Amino acid sequence: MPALRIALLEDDESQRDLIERFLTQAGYLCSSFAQGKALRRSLTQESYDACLLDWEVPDLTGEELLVWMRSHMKEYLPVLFVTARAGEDDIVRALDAGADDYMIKPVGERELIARLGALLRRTRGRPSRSRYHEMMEFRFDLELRTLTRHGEAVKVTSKDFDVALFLLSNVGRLLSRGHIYEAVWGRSANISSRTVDTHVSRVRVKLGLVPEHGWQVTPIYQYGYRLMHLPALSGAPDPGAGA
Amino acid sequence: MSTPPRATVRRTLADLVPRYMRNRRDDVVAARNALARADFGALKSIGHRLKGSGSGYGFHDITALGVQLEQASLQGDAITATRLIDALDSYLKCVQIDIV
Repeated sequence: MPALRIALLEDDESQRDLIERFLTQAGYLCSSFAQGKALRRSLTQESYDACLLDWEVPDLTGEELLVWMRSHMKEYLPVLFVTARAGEDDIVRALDAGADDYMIKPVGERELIARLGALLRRTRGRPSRSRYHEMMEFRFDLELRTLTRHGEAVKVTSKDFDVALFLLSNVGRLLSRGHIYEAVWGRSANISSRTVDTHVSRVRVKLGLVPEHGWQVTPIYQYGYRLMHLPALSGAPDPGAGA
Repeated sequence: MSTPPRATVRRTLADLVPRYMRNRRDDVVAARNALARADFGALKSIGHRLKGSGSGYGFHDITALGVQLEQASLQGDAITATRLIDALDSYLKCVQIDIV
């Protein structure tokens, strides 16, 4: 399955290095920010699966950013606070402001990864350990990397398979081009943003992700895409229910 | 001669240690400057940072010194703060690191 993308706000370089290493070793894609305003800007341009916030950051504190996120962002982004502030009042304040969990530094690698995993399971559902990933009429064979629609094979390239799997694993979510790019091609790839558009367009045609079939891929100007299921047209149940 | 302090660092973090140690040596300089200005707010921030980062890398003594430095700063205790900064300086100079 594509790697999940985590935004990290931490102004201390040593802490940033450490948490970034813990996350990448666990298979996450980590985007780090030393300043709250830089992360806030990124949140308007990019999508993430979860966010780790430090409290004491010079320009915009983690708490201020969290309040902004909960009042301005349409998509719910799970937030784990990671801070050296250990007082009960601080913990209550962060949770009341909308944090999903709270960890006190120094953080241990195993606890951090376990808590983040638990948070993602609570908010995004339990990841499938099965060889197959099913979403409505689509069935992905993750081992053979083949795909069927209503039992009929759909011929796709390896990258189209990954793009289709990523989109259908995130139905209803606003996905930035950068997020799709990193999840499918990884950090080291050097491709143009047009490549993402080309593959999304091809997947849309090959998989029949069109309103006649109950699907809609909506491009979001200067941002990315959202794949929506249109139950009213298809009469089919909610795709999230079987994910 | 006393036995030098030891710290156990995981192999997967070994390449991060030189930068970590360099940052802590910078902390010693910054802490001495803050103390000279009687800037206990800055000193508290340094203690807070030491507290938060040491154990994650395997330097539990740095976390312990950070906890005490933060506390001394809150109390405006310059004598204890001086002793703790000296202890950190000395620790950074002689700690033996075991990579496992």
